[in-house]
Amino acid sequence: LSAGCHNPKNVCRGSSIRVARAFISPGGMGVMGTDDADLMARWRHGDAAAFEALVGRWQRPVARFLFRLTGRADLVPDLCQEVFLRVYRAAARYREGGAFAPWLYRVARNLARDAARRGRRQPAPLAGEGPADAAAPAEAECRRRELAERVARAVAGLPEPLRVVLALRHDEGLAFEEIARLTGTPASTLKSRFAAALARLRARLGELGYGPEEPTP
Amino acid sequence: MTCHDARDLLPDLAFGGTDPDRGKALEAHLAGCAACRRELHELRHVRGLLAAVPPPDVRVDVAALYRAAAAREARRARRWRRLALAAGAAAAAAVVLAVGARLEVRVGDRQVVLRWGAGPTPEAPPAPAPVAHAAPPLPAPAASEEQLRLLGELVDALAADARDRDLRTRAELTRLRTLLVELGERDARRWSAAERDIDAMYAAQFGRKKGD
Repeated sequence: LSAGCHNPKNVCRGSSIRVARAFISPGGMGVMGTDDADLMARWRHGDAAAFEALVGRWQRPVARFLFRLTGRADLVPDLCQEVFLRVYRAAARYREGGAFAPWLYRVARNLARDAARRGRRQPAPLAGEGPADAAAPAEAECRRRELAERVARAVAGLPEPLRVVLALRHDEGLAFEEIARLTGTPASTLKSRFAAALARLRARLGELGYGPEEPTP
Repeated sequence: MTCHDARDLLPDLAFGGTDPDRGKALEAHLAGCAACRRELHELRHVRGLLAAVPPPDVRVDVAALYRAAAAREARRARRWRRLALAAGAAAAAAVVLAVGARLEVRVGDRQVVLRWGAGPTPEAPPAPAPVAHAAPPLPAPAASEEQLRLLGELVDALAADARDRDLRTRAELTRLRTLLVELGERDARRWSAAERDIDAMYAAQFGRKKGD
């Protein structure tokens, strides 16, 4: 959704919300007409296609979630791979009828915490190591990367519970009631956390010189 | 609607998700309140900044997952085989020690007695010793054979368990290998289809085949 997408505001985000809503509907029913618990049950009985369907369905939401939690794009591919390796291994232990999405997010969250602990001992790579957008002028590309890095760092500087709600509300477009089902935290608490996350981000980004321009009256 | 109520709803409005009834009341409040309008503007600005940081486009490598799982299964099987071998060797050593050396272990009266080989043959009639301290008699040959049989069964059971686990691991590894082969074939089919499509597009665009 995001590769080669130059207007994430209009295209990427809208798409991700639609996808996430299809994935995390109250019954856990996905776009393929089969719910996650059913796919997991099929995978338990050795159906590899079911496992691959689960991976295809969840790899991008999990990657977005991990990215918001760690603030490190370089860590996301390996962490994402590890999440699905745990799904693979958990087939035998997975309870029939268990809620797949909350369990998956819990696995991702624990791995992100471990990575954060390790990350304190390992330096982050230099900014702008990814491929450059050939069509963009060098200066604009440089500014875009700097902005992306600073915003990612500002988000990563939030306490973890605030990052979780920010990721699920903003990136996945979930309602607080849906996030409450995923995380087991009351919706009212999540709403307060979301407001707190936005207030802190506003303040931090303002300090970094990314405050808003004056609104038109 | 007061500013306090409006501030509570502004994050929902900025990030899309206000219910229509409250949304109308909020819009009406915003029309007359510059401070809340400014707040909304700032929240939308934060949302824009968040959207300007695209997450990495990640594709999970399913074949690598299967390979990692196969490697883990193989490691577990090796570990279990070593463990079973060590347990079997320990049991066999215990049998040899117990039977061959006529090992006798006695515990009681605040002491542990470990004795091997034939015990001293009593020549003189036993002195009047306190009955409470009398040692139990050496196990009869029939009892030793029974112990030997039980230990033999234990070793057999360990070996059978190791064999079962080996068979299960082999079956799992075979399944994983089949999955990897299927994935490879699927990739090859997709690749050749993509090549055909590219060739067809090239021919349609330039009126000749690639390389002509």
